[in-house]
Amino acid sequence: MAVLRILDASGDTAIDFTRDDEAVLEQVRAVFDDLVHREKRLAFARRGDHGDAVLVRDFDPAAQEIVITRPLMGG
Amino acid sequence: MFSPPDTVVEAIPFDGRGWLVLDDGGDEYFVLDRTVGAGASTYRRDEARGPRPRTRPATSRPRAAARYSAPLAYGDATSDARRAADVRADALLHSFLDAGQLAQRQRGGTFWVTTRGGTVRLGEMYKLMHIEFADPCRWRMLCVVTHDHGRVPVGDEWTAMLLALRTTPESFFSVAAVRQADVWNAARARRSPAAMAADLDLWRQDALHHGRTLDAAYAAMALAKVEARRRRFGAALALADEAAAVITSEADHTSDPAAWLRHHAPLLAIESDVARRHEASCS
Repeated sequence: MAVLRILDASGDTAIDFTRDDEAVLEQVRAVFDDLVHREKRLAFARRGDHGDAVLVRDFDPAAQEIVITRPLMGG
Repeated sequence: MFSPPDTVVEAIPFDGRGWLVLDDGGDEYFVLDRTVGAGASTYRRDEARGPRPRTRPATSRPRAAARYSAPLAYGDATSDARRAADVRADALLHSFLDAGQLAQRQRGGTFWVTTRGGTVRLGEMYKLMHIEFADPCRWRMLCVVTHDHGRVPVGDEWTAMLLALRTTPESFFSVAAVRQADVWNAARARRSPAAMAADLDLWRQDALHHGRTLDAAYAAMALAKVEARRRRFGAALALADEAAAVITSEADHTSDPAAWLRHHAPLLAIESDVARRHEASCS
């Protein structure tokens, strides 16, 4: 079971998915594409239990966890 | 909220639940259980719960693209909802911290992120301290926020900054605003080493008082360098030894001790340099 986390006002909205469920996978991929490609948010994929993460531009169904954040700016 | 025929991810603002409604014929419902302390939240198929009635008729329309609808802004939520959001955000942040960073945050409210461009202290909004390892006397204060600053829990902002620093530090530094350029900078150290030493010692004592031992070690190492310039080699060596011990032991609490020590090599070299000069002064 993998999870897509969208950081938001509630902390995060989490959507669980598995690679086996094509229907759900398609929905999660659509959410990812909408946020990352249209809204220009940043996506970080974590593949192990540890905190190591990589910046990704495309949906990675093999990731254990994908965290979507807003971009940064100078304050 | 619903706008057929799109699929909608609908988060019900701060009632502890959210709904993911799929446009796949109306018979499949996903309910998000966000109960605090219940572990990871999940969407469950065909388990519609709560008082909300089904609002979509069963149809045979094909799936459409999904869309995410953000919940109510953090600042507009009730205090209970904000607390729950903070708990979730902190739990996610902590899952990305190594043991050392977690201990730093619990002790002093801040934590250091080591990158190719130096080390950055996160945890104090608008005042992100950045140290370049090449010269520990060179500090500056940065200000970086997320585009949804103030509309998400602060823990989420730290998570966004932490991940950016770990993966693309150059882009982090490129957007950072320098709030207070080089507060304790090398030029000042050259002009007035005594004043510089006083500033650094004040900061070191304050860091120790607040349980920020790594801050104190960085300050001590910079102070050792200044004291060596003042030819106070005994004091410099004591400070450098103390700082090097903290920095070295901190490596054991990181996910990559070798990388930690490699990044901190310029700082640790100060100790050997001070020791050599101290020995020369005694002979």
